[in-house]
Amino acid sequence: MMKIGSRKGLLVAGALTTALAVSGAGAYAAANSGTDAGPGERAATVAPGPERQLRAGGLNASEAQPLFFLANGKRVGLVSNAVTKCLVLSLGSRFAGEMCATTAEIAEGHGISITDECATTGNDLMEITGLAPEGVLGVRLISSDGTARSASVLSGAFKFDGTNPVPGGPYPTGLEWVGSDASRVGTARLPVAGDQFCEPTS
Amino acid sequence: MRKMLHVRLAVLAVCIAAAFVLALSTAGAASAFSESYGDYEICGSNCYIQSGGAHTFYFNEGGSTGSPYLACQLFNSIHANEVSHGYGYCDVYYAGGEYVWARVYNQSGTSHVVGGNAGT
Repeated sequence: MMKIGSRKGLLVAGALTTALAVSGAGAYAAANSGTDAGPGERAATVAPGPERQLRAGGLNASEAQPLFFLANGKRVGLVSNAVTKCLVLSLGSRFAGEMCATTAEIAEGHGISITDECATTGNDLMEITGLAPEGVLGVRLISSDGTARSASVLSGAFKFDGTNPVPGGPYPTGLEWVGSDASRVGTARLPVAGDQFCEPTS
Repeated sequence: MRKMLHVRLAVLAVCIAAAFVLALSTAGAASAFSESYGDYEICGSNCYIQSGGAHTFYFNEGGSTGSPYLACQLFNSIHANEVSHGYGYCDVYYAGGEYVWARVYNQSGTSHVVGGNAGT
């Protein structure tokens, strides 16, 4: 009888453990399956901190496939699943940024990130990285003075290395998506208001 | 006596499983110091939320509902001023090791509830 009781206890413990693990995994999946939520709302489903968008999308930075380097020395990699694509930035062995977007957001032109090195003692570098919609082979960066720069798309990703706009000078305003016949197949705005690339330190 | 032992074993197993699930959910978020700030509505004309103090922050992130233009910043008055822009979410990293402040700006033109989190 005692042996049967002992087995029963272990069975109960095992069943409870399994139920807890399954319900936890289910809750995690449910929280991350919604594609209507915006990037901030998806990130809010997991604990704050580095790799938050990746964790919210069920992705891992260590699985990113290397794509290219930026002028600021950061390496950019790509990791994706059926719902989300993420650009993963690293500096040496250290995680240094992420930009994740769903297929719908990428199609909408919301898979774009800009980083600015604005300190007066720095190199004034500006990096525009992003994910292009399906079928886009090239990207043109349009400036407020009407000029444009071109970049090719690699595994769905692109980058523009440059420097921050000088006050009163021309500044990037948006992107044009370029298709297989070199024609414009769409446009996207940059996630910045006008020429507010750098922010004050006071 | 044996029954009590079984109950304790069961409770222990549940506690271990709960700790495991909690550890999984917070993996990667470990940080020596972190601060959440803001999480209230600010105007969209470059209004911002800011950390309560300067720290040796390595990262700063900001988020909002929807997809407004957000800008994340880590800065001080000496060598640091890193800014990053995104849609509905932004994150910025600073590897200089200096004491820096953390801000998140709303550049969308309309008011949004914006929250920030910075950590070392």
